[in-house]
Amino acid sequence: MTSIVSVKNIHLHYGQQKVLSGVDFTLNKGEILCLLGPSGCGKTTILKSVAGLLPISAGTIEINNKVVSRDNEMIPAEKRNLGMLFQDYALFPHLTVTDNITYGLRGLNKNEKQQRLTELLTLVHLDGNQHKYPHQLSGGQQQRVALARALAYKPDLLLLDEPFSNIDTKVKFELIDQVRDIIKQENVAAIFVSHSKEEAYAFADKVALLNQGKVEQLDAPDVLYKQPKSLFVANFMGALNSFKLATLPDYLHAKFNCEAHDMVSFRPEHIKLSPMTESAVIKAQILKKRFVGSHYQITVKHNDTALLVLTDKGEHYEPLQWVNINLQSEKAILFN
Amino acid sequence: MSYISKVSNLISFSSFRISPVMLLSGLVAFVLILPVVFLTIASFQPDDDIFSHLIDTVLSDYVINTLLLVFGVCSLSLLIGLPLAWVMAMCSFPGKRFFSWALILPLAMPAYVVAYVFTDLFDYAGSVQITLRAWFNWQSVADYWFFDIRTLGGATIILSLVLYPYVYLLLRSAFINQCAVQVQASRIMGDSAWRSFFRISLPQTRGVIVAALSLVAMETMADFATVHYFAVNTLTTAIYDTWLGYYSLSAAAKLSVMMLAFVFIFLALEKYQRKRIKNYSRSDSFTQGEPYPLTGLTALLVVAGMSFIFFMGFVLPFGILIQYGIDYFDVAWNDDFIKFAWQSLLMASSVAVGCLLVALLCNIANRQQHETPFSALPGHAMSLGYALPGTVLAIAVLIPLTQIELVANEYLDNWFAWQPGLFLSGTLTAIIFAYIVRFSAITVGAIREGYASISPNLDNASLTMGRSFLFTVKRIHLPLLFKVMLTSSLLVFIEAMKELPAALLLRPFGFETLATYVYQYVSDEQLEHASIAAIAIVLVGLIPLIFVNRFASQSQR
Repeated sequence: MTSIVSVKNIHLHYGQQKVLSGVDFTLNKGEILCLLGPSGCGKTTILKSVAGLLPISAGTIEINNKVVSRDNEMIPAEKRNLGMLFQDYALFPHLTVTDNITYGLRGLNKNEKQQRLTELLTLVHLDGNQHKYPHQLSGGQQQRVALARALAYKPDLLLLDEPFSNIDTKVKFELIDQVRDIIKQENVAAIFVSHSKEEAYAFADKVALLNQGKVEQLDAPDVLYKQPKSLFVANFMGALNSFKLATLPDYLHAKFNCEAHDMVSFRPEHIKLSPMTESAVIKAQILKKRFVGSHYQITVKHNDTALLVLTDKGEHYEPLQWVNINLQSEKAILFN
Repeated sequence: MSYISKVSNLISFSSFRISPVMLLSGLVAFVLILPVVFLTIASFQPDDDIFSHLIDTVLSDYVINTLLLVFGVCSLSLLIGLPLAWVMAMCSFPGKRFFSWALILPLAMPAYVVAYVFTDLFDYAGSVQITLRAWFNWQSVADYWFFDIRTLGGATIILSLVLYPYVYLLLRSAFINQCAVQVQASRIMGDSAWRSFFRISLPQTRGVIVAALSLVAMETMADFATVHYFAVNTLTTAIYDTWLGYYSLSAAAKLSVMMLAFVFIFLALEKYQRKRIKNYSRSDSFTQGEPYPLTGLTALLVVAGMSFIFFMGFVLPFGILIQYGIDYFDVAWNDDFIKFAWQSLLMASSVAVGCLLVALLCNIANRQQHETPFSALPGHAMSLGYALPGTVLAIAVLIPLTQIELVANEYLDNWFAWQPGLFLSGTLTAIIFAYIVRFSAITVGAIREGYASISPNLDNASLTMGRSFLFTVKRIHLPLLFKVMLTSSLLVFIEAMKELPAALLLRPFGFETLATYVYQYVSDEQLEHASIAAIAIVLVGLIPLIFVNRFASQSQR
């Protein structure tokens, strides 16, 4: 695999304020990487640095094995051969779909231009809309024009800045599938910024979870969920129930290698409820029950700790009822 | 394979540095603030005791007159503008739509034209007094009392009649934009309409009132023609007379700096209050309340009052102008009028183009540097000139231009035994330069606003697609800014057509703008002969009011 982007130990600070402190990642051809994290974690800053819209204070960014950014020096955006998709689409309001899409095309004769335009319109399912202006299109159509425009000149790398945050949840995941298919079809490497783990799960091949200007973990989305390396990652990627090992029955200690850990955590779906029996080992009382369609979210109290449990058998339980909880120890998540 | 060249090591790295556009923008800003700098320097230079002579004799009268005039015009404008604004914003009554724009029209009337017409009407030899004398069989002045229009009081009334629309416009939109729920809440808690006005509306609009009155005060101080025509001596006329009477630039500069000090006080007040107004204004939870319906006697009084103001401020003076125009058409429609109209058209167009170029330059540079406080500086510097009253501006422009001429003549005489003479101050250069100094604030501000509505992501999109910044400017920014460019340069064009005091001092020999042409006839008591030119000025002045009213009614939603 050839690496398209290689970000090596980049730092960025504005005066005293550190925005990025030592970010590393590489990206291969055809791969989609998601820069995921809460607002202010530096994800958009990384994207803009890769785009050549922001200089970095230290480290290097390479595109196609050529250094494009280093200490306070950079090759400007217009010389990097990148495509970028913006949160607000940034379509040029006074230009038609055709003129928007062909904006970055150069060195082609009229026929070649027309051919590429037709290809792209088909790719993004917008045939017949080439003479319209952006305001005459729906949000999803505008998004696809922006995508076609960014892909038109076959960039080495596609950058997407929170591209789905303005889209209605109802159609969002349909659009994510479409965009992902198009990117895969064009076999272009892509970096995608988001604060939503659901978008990251649906869209990315690998995810770099960022916290305070650092990459906490870089892995496939399911690895981040199932084998998080820190409490931050575990909490960010989904709901979590954590126990102090000391509060759990002795027979469980052996399973979790007590010497090395003092906390153990479980995803809500890995805690099972059963009716209270005499032999119950871990007892809990139901605090709250909420029906969310496909299942129930039940909050139970165990030793003054509130735990979230997902179950499809919620009709058997009512608040104040005592229940027995079973931890699926093979799914346990352990931290130091 | 990519369609554009791959990133190569050959492409040089670029660090962030100041671009040539930015440098040029800074340079232009520097040139445009030169007059104020020179003015300040010149005010410290000796002036053959002219200034101290002025202090000993008439200066205190000038200052007192100026302050009295400012105080009087502000009070009267508030007295007219505030009730009009409140009634217009809060009540419904017959003819409301008509009056909402009719009450702005006096803004288009040049004060000196109104002054002339009113003098013609109300003077001893005017038709009003003649009629009164005929009715009551009075023989001479000794038989009755009638106010003298050619006084400080007369000037106050006339300036108020054409300046109150500032107060009216600003307060009207302030009252409209006020959160109706608050008024409703105070009414529910038992306040009458009056009480809620004094307890809720008025305190919240105090900032707007101060801002509006500061504008009125600045316009009053800048007025030259009315007070000059009435022979009321103020600081403006003093500057004019010092320059034309004594040819002392440094004494005129001293007076100008004094006047600027006053202007900056009002300007600072206005800016400060605007900041405070921002704190009050809410864009959310904004609801429009139901207007109080006025009927019967109240409605009649309101309509009568509004009609009176509209009549005095616009219908009467403009009607009489039209009358002059018809009666004296043969004299007034002459070659001079056509020639000077054409000349001012060309002059005003050059000024509009100049202001537009200057504004584009500083705003494009600012955009390229990502709109930092530093890169915005040239734009702010260019906007300073707007605060200069016309006479001060003229003196300020003359100082550097005559210096340059002096030096150039000396050197050219030494080298080539040739003197170009007054190649700057004696030509259109002076007036065009002065107007660019004064009016570029309009285009700079408008284009800044225009840029604010273009998402920086459009630039980023264009850059990432391999297009240079200047290509982006040409293909994206300029088309999107087109409307703003057009309207703002049109406004500059109109202002340049109407401006009087600077033109009076700076026009080259044999050149007249429509305004100086009209004013000359005003001072010769022969406005009738220039009535068509005066009508043209009023009509040109009506154009921006269409924008103003459209903008104001947009804020009414």
